[in-house]
Amino acid sequence: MRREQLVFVIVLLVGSSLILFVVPPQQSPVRLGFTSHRSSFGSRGIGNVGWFMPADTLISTSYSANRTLVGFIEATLNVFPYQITPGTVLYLGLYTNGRLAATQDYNLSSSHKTPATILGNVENGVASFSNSLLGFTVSQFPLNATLPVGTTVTVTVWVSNPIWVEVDGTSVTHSYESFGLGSSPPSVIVAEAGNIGPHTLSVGLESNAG
Amino acid sequence: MQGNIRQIMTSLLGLLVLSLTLFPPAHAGFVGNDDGEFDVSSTPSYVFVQEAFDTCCGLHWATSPPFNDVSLQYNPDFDTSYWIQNGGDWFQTVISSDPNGCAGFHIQVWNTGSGKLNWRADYPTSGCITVSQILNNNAVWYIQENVYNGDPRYAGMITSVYFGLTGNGGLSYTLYTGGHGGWWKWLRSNICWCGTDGGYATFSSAGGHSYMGSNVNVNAIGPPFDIATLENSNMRYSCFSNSGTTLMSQLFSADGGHC
Repeated sequence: MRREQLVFVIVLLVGSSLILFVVPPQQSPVRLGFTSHRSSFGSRGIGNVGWFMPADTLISTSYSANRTLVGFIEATLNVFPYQITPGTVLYLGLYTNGRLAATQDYNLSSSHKTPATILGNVENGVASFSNSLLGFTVSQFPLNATLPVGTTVTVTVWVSNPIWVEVDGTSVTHSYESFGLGSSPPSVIVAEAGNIGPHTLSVGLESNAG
Repeated sequence: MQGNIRQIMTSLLGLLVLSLTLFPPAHAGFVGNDDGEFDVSSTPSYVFVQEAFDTCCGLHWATSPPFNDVSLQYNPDFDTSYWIQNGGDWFQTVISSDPNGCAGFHIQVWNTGSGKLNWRADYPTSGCITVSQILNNNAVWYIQENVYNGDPRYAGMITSVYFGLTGNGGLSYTLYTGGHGGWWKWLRSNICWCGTDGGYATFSSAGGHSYMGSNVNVNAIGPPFDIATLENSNMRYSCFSNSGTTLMSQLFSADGGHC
């Protein structure tokens, strides 16, 4: 090996080692870790009551943000893993002040690590379940502009086969049913439009607590 | 000329030694927020951590400021996240509990460059849920990150996270993160029995077996160069057993030895 080549190799090795050790530095320059401080609204997701949500029905649930929305909006719909028909497709839409902000679709599996079981009887399409849930999210992130307190956030749900969704018996908000709109969330939606549904879906919402 | 080259070589080697001296590994390893690290041999379908408390100990702590809560954290490697993850994000999954066994499941996504919280999802979305005897002997805490391994464009992405708690009662929750096959990749990881909110947990009586499993082989690798999580504790971890198999394990203990 020629001397110039040797020097080049050594410089390369030293340079690489410096990059490895200096960038990023050993003490992480940022504060990562688990924070329990949350900015959430909507349903908490606690409860074991499920409703057999019908297929081909667009169900919307709206909440008014009780805090400024910063960074992202994340919405979760809770579903009981109980007798889900194979091939079932779930469509979620997320709206801010009636405008479509994000969509998400899921092909639901019929196989689950911990299936839920029904406790007691099914009455009027409502049942109590064991402690096992699936949370399906739809998110807008990054959120390019901060949204003020009072922003109306709406989540729409459409499913190709009936599924057992968690309902929130404590909510003062209603869920609304619309028919014949198809599976894709419309680009604009009016909060509290349609028929008041028999139950309020459990929809949790989160943003950056700052 | 030969003398010059020797001088340059000596200087550069000196620089190398100096850089190693100035930037040593950040920690001793296998205590608190560093149980070592594990990786997988190929694209997995899932990678889980299972914490099973021994009959001796359960999980008890003397202090854990600021809120007296503790966490089981399943953390990806900081540097790998910085270089490889989508946007330099750090995808953390957590089970938290207070001293009464009131628990929560969490995903938090932080940016390794800015330190911003880019996304989170929690169950429940606020507060916690009490699950009977999840701090007692023989309780099991479980987190499984499910990974897409089909279409090569999305292979390796985390699609959902299954959380499970088993005590006298049980609670399980699977959180689907969305995206086209997932937003974030599974990366080499470690676990942490830690405090919360930047705190240090002092475990008084705690111990059990920690398992890392997958449908592909799980390998023990050296402790990470950079520890990402702020939280820490006095929990000690043994060396890994059965590295290179689909079920690797180590012991954790508040007062035992460490690797």
